[in-house]
Amino acid sequence: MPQFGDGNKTDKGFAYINRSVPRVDARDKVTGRAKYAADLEFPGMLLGGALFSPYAHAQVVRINADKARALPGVRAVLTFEDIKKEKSWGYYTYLSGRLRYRGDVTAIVAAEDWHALQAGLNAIEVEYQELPAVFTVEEALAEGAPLVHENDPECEGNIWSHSRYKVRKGDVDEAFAHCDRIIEREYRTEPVEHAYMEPEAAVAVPDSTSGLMTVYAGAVNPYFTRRWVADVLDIPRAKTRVIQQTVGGSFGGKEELMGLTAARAALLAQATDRPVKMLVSREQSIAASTKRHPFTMKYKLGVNNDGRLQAFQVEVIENVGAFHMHEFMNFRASVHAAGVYEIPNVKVDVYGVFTNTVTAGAMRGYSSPQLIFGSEQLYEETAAELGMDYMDFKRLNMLKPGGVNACGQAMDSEIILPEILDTLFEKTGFETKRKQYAAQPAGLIRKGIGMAMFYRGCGLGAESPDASAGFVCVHDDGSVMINSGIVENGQGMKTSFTQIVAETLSVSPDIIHFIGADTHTIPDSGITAASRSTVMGAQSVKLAAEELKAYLLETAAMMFHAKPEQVELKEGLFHLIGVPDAVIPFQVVCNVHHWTGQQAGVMRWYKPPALDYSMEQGGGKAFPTYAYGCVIAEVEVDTATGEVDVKKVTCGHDLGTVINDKIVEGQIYGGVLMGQGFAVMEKLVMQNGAIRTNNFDTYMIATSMDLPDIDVVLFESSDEAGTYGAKSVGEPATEGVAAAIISAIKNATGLHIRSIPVTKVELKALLNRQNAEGGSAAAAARE
Amino acid sequence: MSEFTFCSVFSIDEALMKLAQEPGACVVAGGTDVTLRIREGRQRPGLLLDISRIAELQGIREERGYIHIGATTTLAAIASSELLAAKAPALYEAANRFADPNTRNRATIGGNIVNASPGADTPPPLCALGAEVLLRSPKGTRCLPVWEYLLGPNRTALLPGELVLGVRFKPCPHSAFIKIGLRKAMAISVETAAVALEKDENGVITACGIAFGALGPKALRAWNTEKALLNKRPSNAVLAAAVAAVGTDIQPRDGLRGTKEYRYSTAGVIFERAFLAAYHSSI
Repeated sequence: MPQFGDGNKTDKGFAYINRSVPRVDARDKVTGRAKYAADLEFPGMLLGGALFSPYAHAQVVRINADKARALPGVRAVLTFEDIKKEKSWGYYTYLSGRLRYRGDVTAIVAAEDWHALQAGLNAIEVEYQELPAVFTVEEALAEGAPLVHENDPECEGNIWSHSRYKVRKGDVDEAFAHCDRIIEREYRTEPVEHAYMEPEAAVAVPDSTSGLMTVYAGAVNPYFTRRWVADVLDIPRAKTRVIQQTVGGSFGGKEELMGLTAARAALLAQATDRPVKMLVSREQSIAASTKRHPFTMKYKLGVNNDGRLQAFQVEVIENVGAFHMHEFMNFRASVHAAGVYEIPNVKVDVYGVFTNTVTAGAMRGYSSPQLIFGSEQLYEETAAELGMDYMDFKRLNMLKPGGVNACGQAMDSEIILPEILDTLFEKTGFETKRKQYAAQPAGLIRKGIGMAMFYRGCGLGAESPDASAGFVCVHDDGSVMINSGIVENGQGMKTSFTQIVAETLSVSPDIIHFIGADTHTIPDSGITAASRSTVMGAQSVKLAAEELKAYLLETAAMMFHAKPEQVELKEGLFHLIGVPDAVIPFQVVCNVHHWTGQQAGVMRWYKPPALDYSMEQGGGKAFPTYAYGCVIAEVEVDTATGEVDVKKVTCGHDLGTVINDKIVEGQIYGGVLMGQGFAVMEKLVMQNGAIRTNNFDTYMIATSMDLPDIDVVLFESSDEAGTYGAKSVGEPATEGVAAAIISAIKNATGLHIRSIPVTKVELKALLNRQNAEGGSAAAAARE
Repeated sequence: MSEFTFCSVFSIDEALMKLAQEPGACVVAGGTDVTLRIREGRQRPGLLLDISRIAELQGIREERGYIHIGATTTLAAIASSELLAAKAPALYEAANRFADPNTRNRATIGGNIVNASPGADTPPPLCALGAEVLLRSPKGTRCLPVWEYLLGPNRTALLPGELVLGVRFKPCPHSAFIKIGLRKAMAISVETAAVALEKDENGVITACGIAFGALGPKALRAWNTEKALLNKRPSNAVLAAAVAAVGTDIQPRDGLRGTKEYRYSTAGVIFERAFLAAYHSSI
């Protein structure tokens, strides 16, 4: 049984990974010593602010900043008329006179203090001409709809043609013509706010002597932030330096508005030749930062009466808002759309549609939370139509070792999903409870249990090169310094990378120090996203550590008067193999290594083997390997009030190799809370493109009081693709949770929910309708 | 934030004097509502008059058949009061469902009724308990029932220069409070119901107060529902009649936290739950 925990059931023979060590950044965070961008102060620093659009779609007819510029304490006002380049790197606008959503900005101000800044922003005179706007996918696709982007070669009407991705396998039309039944369903999801605790903040510090612009920011991806800054100032990357500060949460979101904020601060810093700090308020952050993509998923499923899936077709339409830079998400979406099932004929089409609403971007799961909700509900409804037990249906069709997944990739690595299911079902009593609850007598409080199973392609896969740089060096005192182009976003990568280097060198993690992210210290290693850091990003520090270790072994061999192959480094000591007392401490060898002028630092590059995937054909080997998972949710539904009390969530995840189990558990706890919010709590209320739930008194993220009991079961498997065999977990932690909760609500009430979130208000409305239609909850619940 | 002067006073007389001198002053105690309004630019007071250090305005005491709660008594103090747990469970429960521990440590009961939010948590139990607000001005002290003191959203009968001293009500062990929020803590009410009643040895209801929150422009006394229960021994039919009357007592609207439909279809439910809890509670 490859299950981690309880006395470490799997022993992979590691010394420093595969166990919990304290997070390297925990002490600073819990004592309040960690510095966030908003905490920084520089001599002569100004405060910057932005004038956001009061309309969802408008053209500025006239803008006059003379009065604002004349105010005491105001040091610079820049309107869209004052800058050379309106359109940003990444397709947004730095400043613009054409406002396509309420997060667009017409002007920015730098002032001596907060009061002067507010006065300056208020004194800018702007005359707007409001334009007709589109908010929903239906409105945007209607004939004659107003265009969000006119004359844009990337658009067909409001469809973002650049974002079209597809999968083609077999012949769905042929299969539909011959299968016993066809099931058609539509499911929807709504936007979700990341709700990171730290809103966007940046401090731009100019150096007029060197021409260097340094930006300190809580940037989730400093190299992307650097692109925005270099682009707006029109200076080389080599003159643009982004130093990442502690990131107060991101979950994929601290990217676009972060980059724009850094760019706007840099514009003001350049204009005033003084440091400028720009803070985004919570309300501005919610209004202007990206959200999880709202999906409309239109399915057509062909199935035979014996339950065997014959054909799967889906059209996934995303409301991407006014701007977008995430076309690649649709590659991931297309590959994962059918779920962890084996289906001979598959046709998937995914595309985005522009509207005048808040923009969509990366958020934990990057399409999977939506798709798993849609497809798992679809399969549940299909089983009900066939009169089959839904687990029989799922087990019959699930992807098995040696099978071929929906995008045509032969599954040549271990698939431990059956084991995960068996373990979790036994732990929760799933199958007994499921039947019991379906048959429970009518009552106000109804119990339900539900499940979702899923897989996730690890790393970036065929989406883009999953390459990264890693650096390791030793000092003459035996301390080790490491660096990476992958950055800490709160996920714990500094700790896991430290453990990986400790394992590779075989020295204690206590002597290893992570430098942190500074774009002037190491090459651009792409985005820290896609749950790729530990799996792929750490490969480069591992390679660097291996090479450095070889140099150190040479020095030790010289000291032992032996050959390098006769020496080993084990837990901080160099041993002459076969001679028990011949031992030299790591520190002593490092000292000699330094003073004899040996190579003490190594930077290595890692790029995983190429995959064979065709975007044009829509199929092939999409990811080097996949991580499997299952979530079981138990709920109590108060049918009188519509309240869903999530009582318990049991999560089983395939980690490949567990690097640090406590960090993984922490990731999973947070993932459950986010999934719960997505399913039943977090409703973003918009009116004419304005977000009304623009702070945490109205936008309901779960509190500790709402937290269910969470039982985490970690599984390990054998797979060579990731660092020491590790697989992704940061995103899988949340991906299946909403689907499992919705499945549990179905079990409790008999309601097939086709749109989430379903808060108590929506659920009560569905229950009222169910009552009005005459079917008691009990009758409908029987499968 | 705007600029303001912050001034603490240490006696009721000093507070009244300052209020007379500075008619635009904003009285503040815990500040959980006032700072929010200032931050959002809805209020720009020149003077914040801090009354949180006036000893006479603090505390919960039982005296001559009444429970008195001083205006600057914190929700945390109410939420941990054994006296209220035994003699006014509706208010005790409301305080325990109020926001979160941090907010309860600052927020005061006086502030909660002065702010007069339609969804405020303490006015419904106070209305159900038949509580009166004590108001002091240089001219003297007056008392108003809470449901008359509250006029509408953020509007009260408080006159310029007048200060809320606190509330008083008679003990009512048979009382209960039910809240629906969009999460289990730190949630502004979607709706609340409070029930306070007395019954004789035969179980006949001899007095009752019922009130709702967030189901109208202010906390509402449910007169029709009360009438349906008074002098009756609650049977299924009596209770059904009372639940039916709830719809005539409330004026729900569509809002950010709930729809009119939701509120109409659940107000009877929370009333019934509060009623059953109050009726069956043992003294």
